[in-house]
Amino acid sequence: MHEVRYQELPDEELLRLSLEPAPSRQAEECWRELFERYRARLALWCLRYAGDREEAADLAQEVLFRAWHRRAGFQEESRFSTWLYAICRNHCLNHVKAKQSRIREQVVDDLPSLAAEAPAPERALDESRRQGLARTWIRELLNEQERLVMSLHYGQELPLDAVTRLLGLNNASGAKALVVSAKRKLQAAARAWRGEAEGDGNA
Amino acid sequence: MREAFERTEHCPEVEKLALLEEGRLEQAEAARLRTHVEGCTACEAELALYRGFLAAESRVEERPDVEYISARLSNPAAAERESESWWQRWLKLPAVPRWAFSVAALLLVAAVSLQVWRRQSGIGEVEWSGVARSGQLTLEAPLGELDQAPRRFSWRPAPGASIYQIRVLEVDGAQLWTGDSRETQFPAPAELLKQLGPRRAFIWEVVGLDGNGKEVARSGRARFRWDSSEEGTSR
Repeated sequence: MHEVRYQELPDEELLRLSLEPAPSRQAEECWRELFERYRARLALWCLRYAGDREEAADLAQEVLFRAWHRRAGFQEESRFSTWLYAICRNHCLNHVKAKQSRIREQVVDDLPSLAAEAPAPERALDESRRQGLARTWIRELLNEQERLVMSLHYGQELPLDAVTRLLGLNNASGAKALVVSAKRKLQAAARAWRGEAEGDGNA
Repeated sequence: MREAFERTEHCPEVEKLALLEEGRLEQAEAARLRTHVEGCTACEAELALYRGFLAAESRVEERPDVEYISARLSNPAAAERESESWWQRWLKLPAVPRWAFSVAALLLVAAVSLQVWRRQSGIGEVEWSGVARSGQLTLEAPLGELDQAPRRFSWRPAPGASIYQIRVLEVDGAQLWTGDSRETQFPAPAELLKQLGPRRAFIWEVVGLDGNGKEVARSGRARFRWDSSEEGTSR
């Protein structure tokens, strides 16, 4: 009888075979192979989100159960690794967010208030212009690490220690130092913009 | 300004970003997405994390924890099979040919007829020996999803059982705790409660023994898991 060598099959083929109706030895063997391929990766990723190994083990186990129960919904255009990553990312992010209070602190004084202080009413910026200005400063003034840290902390509301672990930052203060330097640059840009705006208004 | 770091309605899902990264999108769609991603900090961060997941390179200080977590994980396919009772497994049997049902029905009719004939003719009657075959034992609590750790385990009495043996297991079948009880319930001891962490599934079972230690009844394996709402919101 022909023996299937599961170790040689691609992830997506293993997933397809694991969809056979239970109980099927082949379905279970396929899932076992996928489990062996990805267990360490899930463990690492959940550890970086959670920062605690017991909590990370629970998270990783829940991710595995979710993946197992949702395997029929796998879209074949994606890779298995991407699909599993998306489940892991969403589950870990929800868990971390549920544990902490919302990050409400502002990055810099908000641009609407700056606009309100601008002397001439015609300088009041509409929403899309404000966003455009902020995005220009971010692209032009911040380096890649600062952008990533700011986006994960303020955009995805991840705590700074998780951001440090996820990005593998090895500087002394981790993500916190990069947030400080990024905010300093953005505040300087905002001050300069306000100064120019006031200068124009007085002219 | 924080909105500039957040995802917008134009940001693609990570699956789409991965297809872009792998060069598996049609040219026009790829060009449109690339333009967006180059100017979007949220997508840039999303891609950075995705690449980190694929690389999966643990740092030296992370390795002991990663090994510990990996060892604790159980394969959900095997764990689910372990926690299913025999009848659940039977219900999931692959398609049974129609003729098999006809044969089963004929055998059943034959067996009942034989039994009726034996009773009527007095053949094969034996006196009740007082030895009960191992029967089913019904578990009452804890079962399923709970909002707090179980304080008490309880089950229905089984005929002939004078002592009950309780086992609590991890979903992979590893034994966490075992103990005996003469009652049909027992309070969860502190050393067990310490091991019953929130948001983790556990399995338990009970075996009923007679005065000579012979098994007279056995439960199926029941699963439970607890998660209090306070647990999710406090640090």
